[in-house]
Amino acid sequence: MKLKKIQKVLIANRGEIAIRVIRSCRELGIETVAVYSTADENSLHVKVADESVCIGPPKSKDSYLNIPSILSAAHITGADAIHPGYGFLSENAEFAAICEKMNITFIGPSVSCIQMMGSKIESKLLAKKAGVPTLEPIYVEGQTDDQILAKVNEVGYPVLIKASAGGGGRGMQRIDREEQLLSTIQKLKNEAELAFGDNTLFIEKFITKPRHIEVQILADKFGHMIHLGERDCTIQRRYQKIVEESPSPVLTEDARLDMCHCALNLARLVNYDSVGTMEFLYDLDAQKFYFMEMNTRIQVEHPVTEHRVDVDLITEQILCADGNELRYKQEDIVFRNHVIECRINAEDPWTMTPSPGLIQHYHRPGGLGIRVDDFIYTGFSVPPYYDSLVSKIIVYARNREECINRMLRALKDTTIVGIKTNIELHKAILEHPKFQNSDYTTDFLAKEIYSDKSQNS
Amino acid sequence: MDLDKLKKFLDLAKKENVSELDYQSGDFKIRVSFKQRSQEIYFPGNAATPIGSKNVTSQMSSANTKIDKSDESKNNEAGIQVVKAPFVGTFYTSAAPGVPVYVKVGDRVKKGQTLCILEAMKIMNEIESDCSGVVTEICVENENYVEYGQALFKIKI
Repeated sequence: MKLKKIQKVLIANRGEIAIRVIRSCRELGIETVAVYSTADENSLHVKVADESVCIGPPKSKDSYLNIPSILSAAHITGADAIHPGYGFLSENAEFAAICEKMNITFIGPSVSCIQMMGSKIESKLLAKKAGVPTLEPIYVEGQTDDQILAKVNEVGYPVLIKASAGGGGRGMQRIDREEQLLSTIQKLKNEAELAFGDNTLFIEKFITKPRHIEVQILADKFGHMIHLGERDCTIQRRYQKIVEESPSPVLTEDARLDMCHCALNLARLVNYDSVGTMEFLYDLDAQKFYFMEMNTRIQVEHPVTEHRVDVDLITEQILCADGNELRYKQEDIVFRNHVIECRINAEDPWTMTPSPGLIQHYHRPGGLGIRVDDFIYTGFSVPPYYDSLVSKIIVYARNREECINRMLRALKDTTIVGIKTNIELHKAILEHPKFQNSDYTTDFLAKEIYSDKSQNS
Repeated sequence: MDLDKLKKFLDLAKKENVSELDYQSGDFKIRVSFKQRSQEIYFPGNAATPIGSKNVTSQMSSANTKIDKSDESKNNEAGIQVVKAPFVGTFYTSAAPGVPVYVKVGDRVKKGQTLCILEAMKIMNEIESDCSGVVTEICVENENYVEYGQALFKIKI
């Protein structure tokens, strides 16, 4: 495939995703520039790129988040495009805008899409406009007690009262009965004022059996867009994804199609381009889904989709950024396999305490149906400054049972000596009967795995 | 040598951070050697399994970086301070083309004195010396690109 303008890509990231991007660039015949902090001098992405530039000291804010440094590196190497990976600057609209000003192709969606869909509030309003179901927040401000009671009754119990300024699970409380509502609102108002300095509250329907299901989309700059199916990322701890799979074992075919079409409708409304993922909360009881937010970037778990549809998402993303029309129509997308990804982190499996340090020996799994996206090697010192992800094991097979079996093989085959990893956690998850029966929700880890461990310790 | 004196001898050796210490008094000889904790220095090409093609040399070639890394280990012993690039940019030896260079090898410089210009994003930044001494080496050629931490000047204090 001939590229129209992109000749050299600077990857503004590190670790496994930097290598992932470099691989696609290689296949496209594009030169690559790696940037790195001094802590990442010996990192694999530096070695495999065609060129590399040291951009700062270890801390992310001085290196991988350092916009002038990264742009300076692009200037001196003559890079004409930047791939931001995930995290870091990937959803930074200001960075995308500066790239545009400097005539550097930002490999991602347009600045306006990043801005619009990056806001949780604005994206939900747009979703509603596109006819996508959302969890309608009921604001407490400026409402009488009667008005609040009426609205909550309409939504139905149980509900969740949330502090606007809260986050990460703080400042929330579940209410099951009408009698509790008004007094709890008062209590939480006071608590929020004390804890966050802001007593703004809103109320949402509480989903008792939630599953986190997201839809992958891909679009060019000419309005062509397709969906590539869903991923089920329900296995999480403290809002961090640990295991992802596709297809979702609990979605009906109708719900699946509905969800994917909703995702495309929303994307069309905002004129989306590049890769993106719409995240939904699926209520198992009611069999209803609600749009939560959109990620306007490539995601960690993108390989799960790649092995269901046999599409290189990064390659297509680069081609679209280059101004080419999308190479696939919706009818070209064929779904097959069951795919599971396990995120291997350098941390204690039970306490999640990070475990950076020297890897004395590393042996990665292989064979039929196994893909490993990593950046570690024997003799490499995992630096302590960045997130703990060191490897992604992606397994595909004909069905879910075979896939779980194969992943267990892959986990058992993996050897990492010198640092702690969460491999034992993954084995515990995959061997758990509730995981195998798809009988779990977002509290699976806390309830089934970690409560066990704290009882035993 | 009694145990007490031996302990004092060992403490002295540890305190002074020596790798080897010999003591001789008449017929009595003692040698103490400590295993130095080795620095983890991995040079490119050592441990990695290369995924793709070779590193293509360019103005940012690894040759530049390799030289810096090996020289640094000598610097601390010889009393030489290395002035490093505080950011990524283009190195200029003078304020403008045609204007005399800021410093030459052999010049005596004062702390705070401008040594060169580092241009980044069209802004010319004066790089000042962080020590006083004599310039022993100018590590980068005029108009070459430098990365963060790259050695620019060697100054003998």
